[in-house]
Amino acid sequence: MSSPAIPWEDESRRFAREREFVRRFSRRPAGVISLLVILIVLFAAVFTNVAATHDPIFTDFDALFSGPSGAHWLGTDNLGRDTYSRIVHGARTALLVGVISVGIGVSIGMPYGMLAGYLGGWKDEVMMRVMDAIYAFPALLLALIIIAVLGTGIFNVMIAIGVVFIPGLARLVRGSTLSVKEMEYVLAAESSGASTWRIILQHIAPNILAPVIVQGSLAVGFAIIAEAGLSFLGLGTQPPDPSWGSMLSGAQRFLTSQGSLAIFPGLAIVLTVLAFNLLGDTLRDLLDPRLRGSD
Amino acid sequence: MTIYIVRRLIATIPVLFLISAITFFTIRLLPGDPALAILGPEADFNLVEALREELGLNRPVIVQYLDWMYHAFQGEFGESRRSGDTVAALVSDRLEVTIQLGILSLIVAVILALPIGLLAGSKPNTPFDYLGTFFAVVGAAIPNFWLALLLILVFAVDLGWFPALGFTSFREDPLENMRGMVLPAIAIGIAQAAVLARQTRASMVEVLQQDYVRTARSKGLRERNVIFRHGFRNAMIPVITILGLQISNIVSGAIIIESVFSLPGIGKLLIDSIFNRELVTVQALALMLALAVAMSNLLVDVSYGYIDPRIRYE
Repeated sequence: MSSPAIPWEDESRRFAREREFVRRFSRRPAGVISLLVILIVLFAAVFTNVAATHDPIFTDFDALFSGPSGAHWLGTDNLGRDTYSRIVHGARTALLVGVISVGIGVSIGMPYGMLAGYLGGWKDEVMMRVMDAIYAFPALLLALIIIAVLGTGIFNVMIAIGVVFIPGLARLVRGSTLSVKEMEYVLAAESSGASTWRIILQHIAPNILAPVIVQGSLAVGFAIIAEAGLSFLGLGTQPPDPSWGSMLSGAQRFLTSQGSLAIFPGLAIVLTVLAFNLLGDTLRDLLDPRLRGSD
Repeated sequence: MTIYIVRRLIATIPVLFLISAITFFTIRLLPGDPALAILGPEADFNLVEALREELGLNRPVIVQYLDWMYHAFQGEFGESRRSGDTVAALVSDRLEVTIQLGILSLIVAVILALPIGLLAGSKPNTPFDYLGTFFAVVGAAIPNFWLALLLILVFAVDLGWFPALGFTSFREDPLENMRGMVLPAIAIGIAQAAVLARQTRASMVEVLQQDYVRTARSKGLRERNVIFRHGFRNAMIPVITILGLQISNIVSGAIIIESVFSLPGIGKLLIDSIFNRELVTVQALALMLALAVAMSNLLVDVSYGYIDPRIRYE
């Protein structure tokens, strides 16, 4: 595990530690390549107008089902929409859902897990049994129940996927909190009369970030697949807005005649998810070697 | 062993109650009115009020929960507004498909994962290991619905070996039934196999470094015996835990894959019910699926006690 963030650690030592981390990271080809892929996807997602060659919802009836060409790099769909530009715009949806849903999961799961671990005893027991019960729901089922009530659409998909992450993160954070709360600096803060939330936020949170960062990176990959799955089912991004999942859903209708339509959006999902998973694995090896191979 | 099983059963009871409460209250307490969700946002106020009354939504929420639980215990989950059938009847018609799909997916996962993980783990840092790790990493990143489309494209559309859609009952035509189930089971099983292979590999690497394995080797035992009798059997303990967790993923997989292949199972019923705003059905299916997963986890826990005697004496 990474060494704890020490409040009085001076700037130069912190800088040296960060430089050492970058040096170790740069020696991991899988980590470096995945980071590059993520940066490319991020660029496409942020600068969609620069990266895309066409309007993603513009229908060109003179170019229905056209194959890859100079005008349409990855061809067009049944409405003559440019597949490449739709994939670029789909990257925005995928990353947005990935980051925001993980953000929802972390912002609820982390304080919950820290509180349970720090309070201990019966309060911990009750809090974690609730999480166990939520954890018993298959991920997609839980997301579907929430969508059934909140309704379809990308915003509700973010909430639904975010809720799915809460129990896993709470469990992880609770476990880390149990070991950190016995540290001398936490005991010192307790004896000086600091409040529970002050101890949790100032002394425990910074020192359990490593596993949360690792889990967060892996969770983004899962969120991208989940969003694509829900949009594939017609419950996420609604037409004509582009999303990798809804593109695959559209492609399914023309599988017998235009099978190639199903290839590129799927490849975009696999490459992006692979990049996040490998980045997560690399970060785990560097930040938290105890967790290696534990999934 | 009996004490261990009883202890596990008792520990599961509160989780089962919490599952029922979460299922019920998620649908009742999330922002949004179930009656409005069923009738749609444009619905007439009087109609919504009438439906609220019919569904008992005007009663205190705890009374609604107890009433729902009381009926659920007797297998009464209400009726589908669209078809008029009871939810229990709808489920019993579709159970066969989902159970068969789940079992076949699990078989696909195990058949692929164990040899790959075993080979990779017993020959670390060799081409076998690299290939096994590649399978595990890429397999986990492939969405099952995309894999399903690729399988349909190659094995149904191009080669014509399997049907692309539809379901034939096993009782009607066992061969045709299995032909129709192969692609869906592979689509769900691959991702599970990837996770399982990764765990099997990690577990084998760890076990083969143990002293008792070194002793077995130094006794002059054949390598095959060392790997299977001493390595593999012990490496299986954490793998079975992961296998238990896979049941939850297989249920998730079935929900989406049944829709891709138009299989009339529980998963497809759930998706159709969401589109048709059949909240009563959604609620019942959610409860049944979550309880099924919790009970299968209990079974895994119990089998764990059989395999590893240390666990039941903890």
